[in-house]
Amino acid sequence: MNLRSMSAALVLVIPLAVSPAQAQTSLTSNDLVSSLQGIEAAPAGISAALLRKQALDGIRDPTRANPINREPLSAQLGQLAQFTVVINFDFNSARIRPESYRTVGLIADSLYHPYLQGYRFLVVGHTDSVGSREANLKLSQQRADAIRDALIDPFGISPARIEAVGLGEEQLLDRANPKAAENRRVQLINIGR
Amino acid sequence: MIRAYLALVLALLIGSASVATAQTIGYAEAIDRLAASCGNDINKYCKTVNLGGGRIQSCLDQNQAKVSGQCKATIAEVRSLLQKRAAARAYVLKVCDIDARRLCPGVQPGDGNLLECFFKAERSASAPCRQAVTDAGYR
Repeated sequence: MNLRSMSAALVLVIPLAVSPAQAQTSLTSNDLVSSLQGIEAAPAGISAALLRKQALDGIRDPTRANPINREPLSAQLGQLAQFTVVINFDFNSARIRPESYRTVGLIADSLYHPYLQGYRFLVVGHTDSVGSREANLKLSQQRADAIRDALIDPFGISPARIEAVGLGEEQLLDRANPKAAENRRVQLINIGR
Repeated sequence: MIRAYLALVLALLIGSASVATAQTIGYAEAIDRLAASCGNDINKYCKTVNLGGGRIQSCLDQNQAKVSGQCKATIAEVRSLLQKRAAARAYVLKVCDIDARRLCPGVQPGDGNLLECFFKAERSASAPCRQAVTDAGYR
């Protein structure tokens, strides 16, 4: 059995909001595989259900009312092998826009790679802070579900391999600028075997 | 059509020497071609339909009398390429089996680690195996 080093969790951030002009320079799925390679042992207790609960608790926590005070919900999440993409949806909707179909296909291609066969993955959706926190939480969950649905059909990934969770504005990328576009992102995280 | 035929002939002639050309495509490329050819039709007839659950394909199927010829042709082409890719993935384990055992002795087959070990050592494998690896999209 190969034990992997836990220290090198690569976080690769790729703004893959694809416009026709940019499409030709996009990465291949195999470029992403190395940033998704995981470790043998499953990390303790990471699951969509747990994160959902943490997000709900976070919304009720008065110390987190101001975005600047919102510490990440899960310190563990940042340490796992992952990458971040941008997927565009219709306004206030979980419908994936056709210009982002390629990005979802890219995720599927990487999950087919032999190096990633034994692992399970979490799709995590995030919003900015525009609008209500509850609405953002709900929308981000619907969007994460939409991505998971597409990975299963038409892209054929086994449902047992992917979980989906929306974290709304509870885990902002830029807490000082909660309305900024960078906060609107999707993470794909390796949650172990 | 002619160009595709010539490309295939060339690939066969070059045969074992070349593993650079894949005869299949992955999902990113496939869906990209679909989005490009069928974008207008999707906007017209499937404007509120989501990608998941095969709903976009269903919507285009249901509207096939109205959907453009180019979109329909791309759907057929993409379907065929994806089937080849799936077949290549199933095939690669068979055609690379002997190479895998030679290059990764002691690692149990059926274990994800065997595939991992093999793909790291794959440059020493036979030409048909290396072509299968290319066609499976693992390069």
